[in-house]
Parts: sequence; C-alpha cells; structure tokens
Amino acid sequence: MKKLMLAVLLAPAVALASGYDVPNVNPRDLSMAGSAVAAQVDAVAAFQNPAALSRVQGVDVNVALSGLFLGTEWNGPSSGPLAGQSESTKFSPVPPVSIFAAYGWELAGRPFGVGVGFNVPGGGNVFWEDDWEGRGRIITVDRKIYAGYLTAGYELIPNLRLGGGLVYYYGTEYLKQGIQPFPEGYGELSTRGGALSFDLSAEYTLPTIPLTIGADYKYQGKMNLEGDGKFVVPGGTLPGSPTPNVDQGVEHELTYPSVLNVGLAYRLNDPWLVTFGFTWIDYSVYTADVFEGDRGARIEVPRNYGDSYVFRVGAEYALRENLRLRAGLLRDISGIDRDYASPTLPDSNVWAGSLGASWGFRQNLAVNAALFYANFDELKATGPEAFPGSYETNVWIVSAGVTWRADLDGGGR
Amino acid sequence: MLVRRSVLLALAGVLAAAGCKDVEQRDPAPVLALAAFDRGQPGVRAATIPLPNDLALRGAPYAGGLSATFFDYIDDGGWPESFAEWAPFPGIAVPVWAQAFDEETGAYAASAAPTAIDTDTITADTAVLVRVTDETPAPIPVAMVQLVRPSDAVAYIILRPVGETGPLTSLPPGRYVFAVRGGPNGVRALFEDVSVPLQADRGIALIAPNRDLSQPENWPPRPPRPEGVTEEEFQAQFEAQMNQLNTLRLGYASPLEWSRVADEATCRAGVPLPLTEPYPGRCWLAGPPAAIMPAFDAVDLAFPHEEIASIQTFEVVADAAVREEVTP
Repeated sequence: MKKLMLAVLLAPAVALASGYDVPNVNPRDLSMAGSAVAAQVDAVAAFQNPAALSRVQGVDVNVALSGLFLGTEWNGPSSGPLAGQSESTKFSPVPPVSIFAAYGWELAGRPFGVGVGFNVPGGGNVFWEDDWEGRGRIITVDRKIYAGYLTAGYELIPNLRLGGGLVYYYGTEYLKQGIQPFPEGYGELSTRGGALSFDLSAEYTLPTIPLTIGADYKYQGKMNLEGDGKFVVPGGTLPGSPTPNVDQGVEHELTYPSVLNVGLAYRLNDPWLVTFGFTWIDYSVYTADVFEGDRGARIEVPRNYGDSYVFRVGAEYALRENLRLRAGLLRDISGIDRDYASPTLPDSNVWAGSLGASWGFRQNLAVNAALFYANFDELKATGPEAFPGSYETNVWIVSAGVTWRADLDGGGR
Repeated sequence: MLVRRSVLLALAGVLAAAGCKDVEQRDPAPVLALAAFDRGQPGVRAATIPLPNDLALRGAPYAGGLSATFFDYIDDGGWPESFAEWAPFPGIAVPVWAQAFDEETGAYAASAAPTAIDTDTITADTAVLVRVTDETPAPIPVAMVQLVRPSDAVAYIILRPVGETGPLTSLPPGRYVFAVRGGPNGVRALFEDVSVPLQADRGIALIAPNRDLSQPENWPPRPPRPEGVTEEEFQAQFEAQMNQLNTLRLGYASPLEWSRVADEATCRAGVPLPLTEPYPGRCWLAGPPAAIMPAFDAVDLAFPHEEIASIQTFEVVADAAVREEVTP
C-alpha cells in the first residue's frame, strides 16, 4: 500500500484532563478529585484499586450517570489574518457512566473480593461550527474510550491487600475535518476497536496509625481501530494526486497509556478522612495519530506529548451516620507540546475542584452526587504546526448514582 | 420490576447516546468529466491555444511573459475562434477531459473524453455569457453548437449566443465573461449511456470558493512530496502555486481591467508610452475605466460562482489594429 502523508488533516482527541483522559465519574471519587485511591470502600474499587475489593463484604453494586459539559473558546492571535476572530465550541454534553458490582467473601480464611464493571476512562468531545476559521484543522472530535474490568483483591496478610485483573479497552471515534478552501468540503472517519490489558494494585494499612497506602497500575491498551473514511471534495481535486481523497477503509492504532495511581488515606478522627493522590500517565506514547487508508491515504498528525502528572487532595466528612460530605482539589500537569497545539485537543494544565455528598436513606441503599469543575490554563499555541491563537477551556461534570450493598457500615470488615 | 426495567432502558438509552456516528463509504465515481483549466493538463491537446486562465497563471499581463504567438492569434482578429486552428470551432470552446478510477492503483488516471453532452442540461441556469461593459450587464442566452472530439483525450463543447451565426468577433464590441456550471446542478457529459456531471478541474475548483489562498489556513491538504525533492523545495513550490492561484482568484473576483497592447506607431503617437518587454515595438495602452463588473459577479447573475466548471473572459474589439489582452 502506498503510504502518503498530508501535513494537515484529520486529527483526534480532547478531553478534560491530560491528553484524552476522563475523570472517574463515580460520585464519591469525583467529589474527592480522584484522590481516594487508598480509600476505596465499594465496588468501584474494581477500577480504582482492585486490592480494596478484599474489603467488600457481600454484594455491592454502584451505578452512576453523569453529564460532562466541555467548552472551549478560541481567540485569534493579536495580528495576522485571524486577528480579532473568535469561536466557541457548540454545547454538546456527553454522559459517561460508571457501573460496578462486587462480591466479597472469605477465601482460605482471608478476605477476598471480585469485581466487574464498566466506565469511560478516556475520550474527546469537541464540536466546532462547520464554517469556523479553523475548520481546516478540525470540526468534530467525538472519541470515547470504554473500559471493562474483571478484577479481584485478596488480603494476603493482615493489613496488606493485593489485587489485579483484566482490563479491556474499547475505543470509538468519529472525526470530521473541513477540507479547505471548499466550504462544503470535508473528510470524516469513524473507527472502533479494542485491546486487552491488565491491572495490578496493592494496599497497605499501617498497624499503628490510621494511614492507608494504595497503588494501582494499569498497563497501556494498544487499540487497533478500524472503520471507514469518507471525503467530500470537488471531483477536480481527485486526479493528479497519488492520495485520492476517495472513501476508503481506515485503520488507526490508538494507545490508551499506562496509568499509575498512588494514594494515601489518613483518618484524622472519626468524622474526618483525608486523602492524597498522585497520578502518572505515560502520555509520551502519544507521539502522533496516524490514520492508514486502504486506498493509499496516510494521514499523520504529530502530537509529541510528554508524560502527564496529576496531584490530588480530598476529604470526606461524616456529618451524620448516613450523611457524608466530600470535597477535592487537583492540579493536572499536561504533557501537551504547545508547538503542536490545535483545536483538536484544547489541552493544558488544569486546576479542578469538586464537591459531593452521599445520603444513606435505607439500610442498604445510598444515593451519591458530585459536582466537578475544571479550569484549563490559557493555552497559547506556538510554532508553525499549531493553529495560531489561544484556547480557554473549562469543564463541568455532574454525577449522581446509587450504591446498594449488604453492608453500608463503612465497607470494611 | 417496573423500576428495574426503567433503569435498564435508561442505561440502554445512555449507552446508545454515547455511541459514535457511523461513516459509510461510497464507491468512487468511476469516471470524472473535467473542464480543462489550463492547457498544461495531462491528456489535453498540445498547448497552442492560450486560454485566459493561462494568461492569468503567468501573472499576465503586467508581469510580461506572454508568448508572441498569442499576439499573433490576436492579430488574426479576435478571441478565440478566429485563429486558423480554431476555424472549425465557431464559438466558445470548453475543453473537457476525463479521468477514470483505477481500482488497482486506487487513483484516477486519464481516460477517454465524453462522447456527448446532455444538451438538455445546457440552460440559462448552467451556461452564461455576460457583456460586463454594458451599463446593466445581463446574461446572454447561449446554446451548444457542437461537440468536437479531435481525439480520445479531449472533447470541446462549442457554445455560442443563441441566434448568432457568425464568429465571436461579430458580437458587439465589449468585454465578456463566459462560464459553465458544474456539479449536480450543472451541465452533464455523456460517456455512452452514462451521464456524469461536468466539474471544474483542480485550478478552478480551488479559486471558485473565492477564499484568500495567500493564507495557509485556506490551503488544501498538500499533496505528497515526490521523491528527490526536499521538504523545503516542495513546500516552496506548493506555496508558490497557492499564491499564483490567489492572483488568479483576485482577477476573477475584482473588477476586470483589460489593457491593450498597441504597435509601435500607436505607442509613439502623442505621449510616448513605455514599451512592453519582452516584445519590442509593442506597448500597453492606458487601461479603460475600472470598476467593470467582476467576473464572479457576472457569473452570479446566472448561478453561484462557487459552482463554476469553466470560466473564460475575452474582449471583442472594433479596431482590429489594436491587440487585445485580458486579465485574468
């Protein structure tokens, strides 16, 4: 197959954290800014830290729905043909879900738990107007990385819990880009595919002080997305080029990067739990998006990402036995390279804060809710590859769900 | 039970809403009928007839570079059909060539030109001739006279104003814009029984939207770099091509300003005029008043200029001793 390269074309991504990561929208984790790696108490541990599944007793089900609202405003540079221009993305909420179930019992005399679940750890959601100034870079990015988990946790010795299991990533993406200078010209593609990966985790509670240390590592998922590409261009632009913009099958190898989460959970006193988290995401694997067509097209969009780091802190306060209040704060250091910044991925460093609460209104049933707001640092694109201008992005997430389990007394044994 | 079912339905709805839009491939058009933009296109006859687009591509006329042959053609009495070579073509000629999709290579390649034109598709909405020097320019109806197919490689649609029987030079003196509409609403070419919409070739397709091609954000995707050409060289070539096309675009989007080329005697009568390099003995006469209707605006009288498949500009002169030139 001929391999061709276009300097400009379909590009992907976006999200609301580093690269195309999406926060864990389970209300308890979201309201503590994802800092509760070492303070998992329910079935969501199947994702966040499977070692903690060994603390689940009986059946535990946790279901949450959310609404994610991402908005980006682009402002043209102070001089040049784009000076004075501005544009905002269209309102287009997405509904990441978090669905987990776990069952815990004793195995060989030690606590053991297994969990299954499903969530959306990554994605992109950018919808520009069809005729905006940057349509030649991107119009629509609709990417979702779904993940399914089958994990287990076992208390190997008192206070030391180990966990792990299988993770299956499944990505879908729809991308649309205008082809200039034709107002009606565009290319679009839709691909999907999955990859199997694994998770390893551990948790240790100090015997002398109420401090728990947790760590969770998820290996990368290298997905081979396959689908279809379609081009709408004037016929006169087709001949004479070895890259026919004709419809064709498309492949895209997309790697969801490895992630390491490390956390501390400290019980200050009976009502107060304080949590800290650190996340490393191996976004240096995100060097480019390469789309290979089966009719000779090859589209490469350089990314040149570096690794990302997130620092998190959270707190949970038991106001009453059946009412818990939560808050969190995070600072996300993105691995984006400003020289390659584009409206396909209005990424940047992020400050985010969150609030939430849980109310146990029956013995085995609780409702949970969270509100999360992220403000991206203004990103000024530089370099010849970048679409000139600055980007200001913010994200709101509202999340609500229910937890049902046999034991609502704290999740521990 | 009802609650459980509602929850499941809600979840199914959420998951369905979360799915991505599908894209369906279409088979490539088996054949394309393209109106030739310039004479350098592959598959088209030797470059002996300079279309106005060719002149514009060279930055004509002020930048010079026109062939003396062109002036000889003009000497023959006008544009374009009175050249001896064009004698069989009594009208405005629109060269059409074809490209067919090759499944093996996944690319289009030259193929046999159309065998006929669907004359029902040549209407006041698809072919337009406008004398832009009129006080109130209006479309002049045209009709197809014949399809000349000198070889498999090219066919010429010959059109002329309805009711006219003489050569184009018999039209009232003035400046004209002529265009044919392409695409789904335009003229259709026939390949035996297969009807195919006529389309602009790459040059006209790129300028028809009338976007500023001096700006990189309006450029089309750059073609792949040939072997043996450095990245810097190739990028420079691409940028030069875009700037050249932008010059052409401006020519069609701006009020047309013809200039006249005169012989030495005319040039030296009265105030001497600078001679026109590189053609000794000739000079440009002062241009006529500006603000003549732009070519794109003239086309808009009949159909949106974004749908142009072919556009030509020419002048019919009363004084055959004065050579005519057009921009673009």
